[in-house]
Amino acid sequence: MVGKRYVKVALTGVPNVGKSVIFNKLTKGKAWIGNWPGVTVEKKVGKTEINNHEVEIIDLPGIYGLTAYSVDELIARNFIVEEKPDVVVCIVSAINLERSLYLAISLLEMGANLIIDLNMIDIAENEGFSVNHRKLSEMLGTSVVPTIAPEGYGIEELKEAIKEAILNRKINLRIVNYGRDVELAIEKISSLIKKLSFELSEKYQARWLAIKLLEGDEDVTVKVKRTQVGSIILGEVEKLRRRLGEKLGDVGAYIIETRYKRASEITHRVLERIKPVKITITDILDSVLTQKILGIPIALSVLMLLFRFAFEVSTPLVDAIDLLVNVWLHDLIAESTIFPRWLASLLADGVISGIGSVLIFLPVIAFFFLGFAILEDVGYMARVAFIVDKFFSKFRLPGKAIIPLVIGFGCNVPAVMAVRGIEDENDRKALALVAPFSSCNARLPVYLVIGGAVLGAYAGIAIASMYVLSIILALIVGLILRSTLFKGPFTGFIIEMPPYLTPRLDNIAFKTWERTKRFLFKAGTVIFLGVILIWLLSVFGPSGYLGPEALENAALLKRSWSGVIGHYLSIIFSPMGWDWRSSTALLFGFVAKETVVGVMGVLYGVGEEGLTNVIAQYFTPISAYAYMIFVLTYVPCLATIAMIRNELGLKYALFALFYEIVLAYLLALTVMGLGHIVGVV
Amino acid sequence: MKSGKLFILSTLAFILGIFYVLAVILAIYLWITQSPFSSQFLYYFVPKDVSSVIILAPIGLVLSSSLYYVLRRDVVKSIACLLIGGGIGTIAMIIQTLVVFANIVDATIMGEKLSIEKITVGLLRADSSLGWAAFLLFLTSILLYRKLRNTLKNNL
Repeated sequence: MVGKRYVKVALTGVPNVGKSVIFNKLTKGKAWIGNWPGVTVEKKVGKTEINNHEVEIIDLPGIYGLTAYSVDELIARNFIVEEKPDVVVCIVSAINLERSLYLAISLLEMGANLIIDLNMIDIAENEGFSVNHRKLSEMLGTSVVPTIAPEGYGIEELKEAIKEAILNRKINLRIVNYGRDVELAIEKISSLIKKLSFELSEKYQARWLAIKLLEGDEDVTVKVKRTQVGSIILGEVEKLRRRLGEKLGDVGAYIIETRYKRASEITHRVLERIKPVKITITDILDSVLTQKILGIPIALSVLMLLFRFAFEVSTPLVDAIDLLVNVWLHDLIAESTIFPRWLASLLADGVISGIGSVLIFLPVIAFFFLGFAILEDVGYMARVAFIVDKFFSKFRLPGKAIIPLVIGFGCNVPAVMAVRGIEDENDRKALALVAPFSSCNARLPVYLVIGGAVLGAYAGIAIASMYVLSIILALIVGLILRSTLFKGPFTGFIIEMPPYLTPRLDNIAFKTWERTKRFLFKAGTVIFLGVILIWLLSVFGPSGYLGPEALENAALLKRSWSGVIGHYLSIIFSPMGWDWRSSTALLFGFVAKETVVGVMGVLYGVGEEGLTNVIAQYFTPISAYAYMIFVLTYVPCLATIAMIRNELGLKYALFALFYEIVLAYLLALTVMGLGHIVGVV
Repeated sequence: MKSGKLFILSTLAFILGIFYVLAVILAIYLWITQSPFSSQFLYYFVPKDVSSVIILAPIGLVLSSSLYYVLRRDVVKSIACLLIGGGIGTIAMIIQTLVVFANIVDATIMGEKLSIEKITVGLLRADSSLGWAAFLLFLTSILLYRKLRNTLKNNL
């Protein structure tokens, strides 16, 4: 290894052990984010230099073990097996040592060149105990570096340990003794692997492979099966498993249990009580915050405050950007005589409006993520997830689902972004697809105009029903998705309850910037292109170029491609009784729901203010209610679709687009049908 | 810890909690009935946006619960209620003040006329005015917490 220029270091640990902070400290915040190939799990890579080695640090997903049941765990273990990082740093929490050690032991068994970062030692000491890191190092046979990540304590020592580990590779495959019978079986299988398959013994540690085969690990079994000697090895494994099963019962469960026992044994030997246990702020606050009667209302109150902070405090910035880009810059270009008229309109109504519609989201997104990062760093978000978990689990969704669903009431874009905090990939995918059902702020003007104009005294109830329906829809569709498309084991609720901590400014600023930047560059491009497409559809028609006047003239717009599509849509929407104008407005609603009312104003030739008086002539109460339901259910906006594409890929973005439109149509049709049955028209 | 101090503080929290709950009930009543504000007090005190009840109701509930827990001799939960109710009340007050400030900046940017009445209503509404009392309560409850944190877990 001496003289090697490029070194790979993998960073891993159970969730909430301060992995992100250590990653940032090691890389000095310089990282690029992508996804692991083929899945939607975030991959963060950073670089640093240690002892003239250019070190690439790969932040592996937060995991509890290395089973094949969770996508995150599979990613971590495949990375360690296939990419063979030079060093693996396992961050271990001093306040929850046993659970962290289970992962560390699993990594050692894989043959990782491991370093233990013993983090949160300050919190452990506050809670009255310390971890004897020297003894821990002796027992694990690896370097153990105590750290207090937020303060940067121990980071230099950690770098030193990485340097040492690069030079002197150490492995400890026999960290767990599974007892005479199982050890003999392991020995037999590993000898067989070494003897029969060069391919397998070259790629994997034979002992680890043997343990995993005995454990019944599906992924490993499939990999062995694919080799030429797979059937011979698996035949022997099956024989040994049967024989061991007669003595031990379930061999897989026995192996896992023995590993847990080893983690527990080490924990008991290295934990030292240094002072009597005193009550902590976490104990006091959790006595109420995790309680159902008060905990749930408090969570709603806190999330509503986050909502107000993001949407109301950011108003001046939103308006300033709107004024600067969508009005001042737009008018400057639109009225400019330098460009030909078509180009001025393309630049003003297409390019500038496109940039404007991305930028006006920025303050809300940034404020939201600022508040969210604070709540996350304080440790409160884990409690919110905990208290609603039982209810959500009935819909096969994790407790953390509450976060995107509530956020969605403000804006669906951060709601889809918030699903990143969900560990299980199936949960994450299902939630990203149902979070847009939360009735965002932009839909409200549509409800107010349509409901207010047509439903009279029932408008209030009708609008309130939209919010209730949005949650019902999200839960039911979530259940359907989790039981069909994203079928898989419901992992239940595994979450570390971190102690309450004072948030650190640098960490919050970093998180806020990272998330806001992601929106700006990833979603921004799609929104921008979408706005330009709508502009093109509006200024061109079957007869050719209509000019930018079409954007403000109902007669011209009717002749544009938008108007033509609107006409075809009105045929599809004829069972609901919506005319071409309301159908065309829905088309514009793809860009942003805010535009529906404005476009209706143009198309009905009355402007937004006079719309309420005119609209009553074109809708019946039931067709108005169906229209409201359609607006609630169909694609929220281009930005949300862009975010879904960013989180889940193009395939799922298109799926969301399709299924939401179909569902919206079916619901609207059902409402019309029910209306006719009960005699309301 | 002397329970006398906690009892007094919890009683004050209970009274403050009742005010929060009162604001919630009035906000819902006025929203449902669409009644005009019959007095100056109601006009300034009751938030016009009904969504505020989601913020105010839990604060009132948690603050009032402090007295309930004192009567049940559950010191930890009682202090937790004071800290949480007082803390959220304070944050609600800060955010409401920020909203008022944002409205002023927004009006300036948009070239709209500054409405003194709108500012006054924003600063006097329940989440803002009661928030100051919640803030005082929060500060006092921190003193109680400091005494409590020296208590051994087994002694509770």
